[in-house]
Amino acid sequence: MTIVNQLSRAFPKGIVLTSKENTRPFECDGLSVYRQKPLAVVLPDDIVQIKQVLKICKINKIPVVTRGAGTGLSGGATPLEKSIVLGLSKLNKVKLIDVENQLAVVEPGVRNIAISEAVAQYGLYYAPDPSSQIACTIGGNVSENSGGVHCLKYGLTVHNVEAIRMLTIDGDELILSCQDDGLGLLALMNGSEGLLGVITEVTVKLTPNPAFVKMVMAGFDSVRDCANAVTNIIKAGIIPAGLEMMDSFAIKAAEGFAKVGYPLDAKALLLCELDGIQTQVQLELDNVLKILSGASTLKVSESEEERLNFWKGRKSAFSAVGTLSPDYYCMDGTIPRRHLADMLEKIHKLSKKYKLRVANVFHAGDGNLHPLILYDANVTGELERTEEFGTEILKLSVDMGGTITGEHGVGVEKLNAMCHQFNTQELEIFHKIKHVFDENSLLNPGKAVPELHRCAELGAMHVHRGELPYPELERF
Amino acid sequence: MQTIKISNMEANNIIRKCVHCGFCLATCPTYQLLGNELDSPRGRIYLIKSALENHHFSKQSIIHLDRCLTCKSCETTCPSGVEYVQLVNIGRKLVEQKRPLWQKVYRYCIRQFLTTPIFFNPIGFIFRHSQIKGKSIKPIIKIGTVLLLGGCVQPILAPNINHSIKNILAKLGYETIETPQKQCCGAIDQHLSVNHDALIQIKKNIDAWFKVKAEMIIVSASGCGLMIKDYVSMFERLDPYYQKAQHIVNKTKDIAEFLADKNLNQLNLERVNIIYHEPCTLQHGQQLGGLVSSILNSLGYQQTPVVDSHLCCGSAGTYSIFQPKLSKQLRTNKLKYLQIAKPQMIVTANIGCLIHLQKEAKIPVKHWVELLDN
Amino acid sequence: MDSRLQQLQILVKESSSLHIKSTLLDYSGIVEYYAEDLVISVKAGTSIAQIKKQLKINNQALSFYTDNEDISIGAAYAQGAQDLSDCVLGVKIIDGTGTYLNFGGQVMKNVAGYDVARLLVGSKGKLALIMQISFKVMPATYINQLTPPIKRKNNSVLHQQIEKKLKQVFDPRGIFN
Ligand SMILES: Cc1cc2nc3c(=O)[nH]c(=O)nc-3n(C[C@H](O)[C@H](O)[C@H](O)COP(=O)(O)OP(=O)(O)OC[C@H]3O[C@@H](n4cnc5c(N)ncnc54)[C@H](O)[C@@H]3O)c2cc1C
Ligand code: SF4
Ligand code: SF4
Repeated sequence: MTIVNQLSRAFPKGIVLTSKENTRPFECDGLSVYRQKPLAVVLPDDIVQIKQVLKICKINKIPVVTRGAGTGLSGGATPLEKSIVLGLSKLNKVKLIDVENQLAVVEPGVRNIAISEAVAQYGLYYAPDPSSQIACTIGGNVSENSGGVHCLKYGLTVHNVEAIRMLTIDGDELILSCQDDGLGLLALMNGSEGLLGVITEVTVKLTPNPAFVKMVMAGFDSVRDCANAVTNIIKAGIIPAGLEMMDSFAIKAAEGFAKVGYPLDAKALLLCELDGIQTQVQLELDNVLKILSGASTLKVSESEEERLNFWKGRKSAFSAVGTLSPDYYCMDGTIPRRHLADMLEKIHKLSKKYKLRVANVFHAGDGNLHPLILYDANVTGELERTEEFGTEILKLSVDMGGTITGEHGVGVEKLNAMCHQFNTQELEIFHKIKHVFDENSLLNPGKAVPELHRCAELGAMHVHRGELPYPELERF
Repeated sequence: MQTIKISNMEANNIIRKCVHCGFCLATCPTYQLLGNELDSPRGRIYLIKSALENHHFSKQSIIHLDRCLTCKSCETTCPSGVEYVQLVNIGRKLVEQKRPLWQKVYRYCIRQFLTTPIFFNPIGFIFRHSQIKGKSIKPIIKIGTVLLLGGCVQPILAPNINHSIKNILAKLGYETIETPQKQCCGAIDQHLSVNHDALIQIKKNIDAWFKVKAEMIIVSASGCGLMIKDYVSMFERLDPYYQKAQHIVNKTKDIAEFLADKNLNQLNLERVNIIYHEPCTLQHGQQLGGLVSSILNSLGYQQTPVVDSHLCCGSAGTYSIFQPKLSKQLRTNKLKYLQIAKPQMIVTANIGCLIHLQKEAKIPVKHWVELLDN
Repeated sequence: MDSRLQQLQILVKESSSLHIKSTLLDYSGIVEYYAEDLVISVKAGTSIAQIKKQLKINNQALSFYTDNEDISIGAAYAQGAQDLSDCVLGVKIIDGTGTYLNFGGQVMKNVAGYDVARLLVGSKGKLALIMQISFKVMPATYINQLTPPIKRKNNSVLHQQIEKKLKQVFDPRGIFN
């Protein structure tokens, strides 16, 4: 019996999607340039059914690609050839709210913002807030170690997860807590991109709403001034709750959708949020306003509504760029903050070289850049040019002492760039870690860590202390 | 998103705008209930895209398009400006050909029943929701004339709504002319993808309303209002009806828009604890979210925020007839959230929502204008 | 190339059994410190007191609990718990085959590859020689009262099996004890 038949038989109607027309809509995630139809899509109702799927897949040696909301931007949830997609969207219950200990226990398919909504009545919220928080799931967040606009002060997903339950490919349950003595297995699972197990429950840490919040919006006539302002704020010993930057393309797109009063003539925009107790925020605010005195427009949020509006523009900026261009390619390199201004200038130059427009909207406080390269996939050659451009940006990030991906993950998209960031031995360690959890490589295989021969073919191999590793590998 | 050889340019342009970000999944009522991407806006866009790209398309996919409420919640959410409902209408036209015959017959009967007064009225009377309350008032000093859309089912099911409006308008100095029942806005035909019949009806309406000397067309059902405001998009630019439709659209106002800047102090208000349910056609369709609430607030009605107020109640035109299960589930959820603060009455702004909610609600459901004519 | 580092690599390669202690390392000093980037990179033998002293110049501090400032940062890392792990940005190690490896870096957000820099927090000298660590530091004013973290043994058999297998990944010859 084929795997599709086995699955169809094992579950009641409506759980297994098998026809081509019904599986095609699952062929990609938020990065739709990579597409691959799976053999079937399974949408289990509960954990028992997940176990059953894993069992059937293991027996048949069929790869499993776990999917949350499919908002990922690196192809993490893109199906593989002849794979099964395991969609967890139906596991969307908040199981327990522990107000006293500021914890919530949720199923993996719960949307990020739904956690904050559920606990709002207790004056709490879940701090990591990716721009996609309205849609992305906590399972996806853990798997990508997602950040957000507030992680400068409140940390990434890894800092806000107390414990998880997961299933290994063998269907065994593993419970990991941040209080476990010994190796940091919980941290390892954060950002593991669905390669090590299926997360079935997450206990998140909740944060009390800040007593007082103020947001400053500053428009600048030059990108460099704006970038320098970022460094100067941190230098002054201030840790804003959020510190975000947008360039003129992004400002226009975001304002077009959200209509929140961003200055349309500014070359760069800085959003700086300060929170805490009132006296301290007031003090910081005065300081920040002094630092930003060179800005062409400067506005402090006067109401909660206005503050949320400022964020609304920022959080919709990515998708709103869709109004400027039919397609965009989002990069995710992170660099030390001190190089921000230089990096932005370099990107600007590259943009001219490749004749492709770039919109920048990013987590400036973390040095996490998101250049969105605007292109048209229906024009032949443009995607290839875009990818080349992107690769150059990623290499620049690594060379500046940063990384190819700050929060979106490697997925299928940044496999080549991984060869630039890690040498063979390091990549090999990654493969061995995968092997510890998933001997037959059935969970999202081929993603996140490149095969060694791939790097060899690229010629991008790290040359380690003068010796070429793996001389026996053929090179092209 | 990239598309491959889609010849329908309009559809192609809409799909190209979608960046596949998935934001819309979060606010789609059917995705929330079913958790299957095929029952989400992004999934449906993909289904339509595949169909237009000439991939196989069967009745398996019709189910998912049928389940869409066309509530437009996704359009409000989409930062990329994807005109989803326009696309789904194109998609539905396409799938209509593949619909099994029995479904076609069933849908035809329902449509005829609802839009033909001699069929609908006798039955409608039995299900009448509310009687006319109080007598009619005439304006003392006349400062203007407006055309009030009668609607096709509303005058039979809830005649008090337009009665109240006429009285309120009279107190404000406006004389009202009401359109006859047979001038249905065309939404029911449109819902069932019978665009041809809808167009005939719309042309008739435009011609008739063109002749009436009134400075404004007022609509009390936000569903009909949305439909009329959309008339322009039904015609090609060069069609003589295009200009005419534009004229009609410019004159069309929801009753809330009309009353928003008027002095309402002289009205007699019914003082009850209310909760307001915002119809999708008002908030997502006409993009007038919050307007009624602010009027009610200014009249002293206390408002508490409603959880998931952006979600459809499940009425959605003929949806409650064709998708009874989902429709009921949505209604139950909606009523749960509406009644958290234990109100004495639910008010809304669309006849469809009103009748639909009343079927299950233990407390009265009324049009909010009825509060203003006590 | 750092000569002490090479010596240690050779030592590991040639040993069949090695007990890692701070005195063995003899590898200390602050490598890089960018106050405006809130990041410090230190060699593992550096004492916590020394790091704190350096940070203090810029009104910055480590935001994890330490009860003994005389121990090396490498020891603190190897024994570490959640609060320390939260501040780790990157680590350079010598694994059981004597290979020098680099995971993570100096930026706060980094999801390229598995998070080995945090995986090895709490590795108690059994997996690899910790050579250099990068930490995120904070302005002292932002650090509240630090309390000792809670640590509990995870008794699940599967958990122990995985830890054992992970040791084999980093120390295939089983020399660190
Ligand atoms: C417009 C837009 C803005 C974004 N902004 C941000 C941002 O600000 N910050 C940020 O960090 N990201 C951002 N993202 C990226 C994306 O939203 C995040 O990566 C998110 O965490 C993905 O969640 P998801 O539920 O959609 O996961 P998916 O895309 O479905 O999956 C992501 C990965 O996680 C795995 N996975 C999912 N669920 C599980 C599970 N239960 N168990 C095991 N593995 C699982 C999948 O296999 C896949 O590898 C943005 C995306 C978009 C489209
Ligand atoms: S929100 Fe808009 S752009 Fe994003 S997937 Fe939905 S329709 Fe497409
Ligand atoms: S119109 Fe409503 S039901 Fe239809 S896809 Fe959009 S949000 Fe969902």
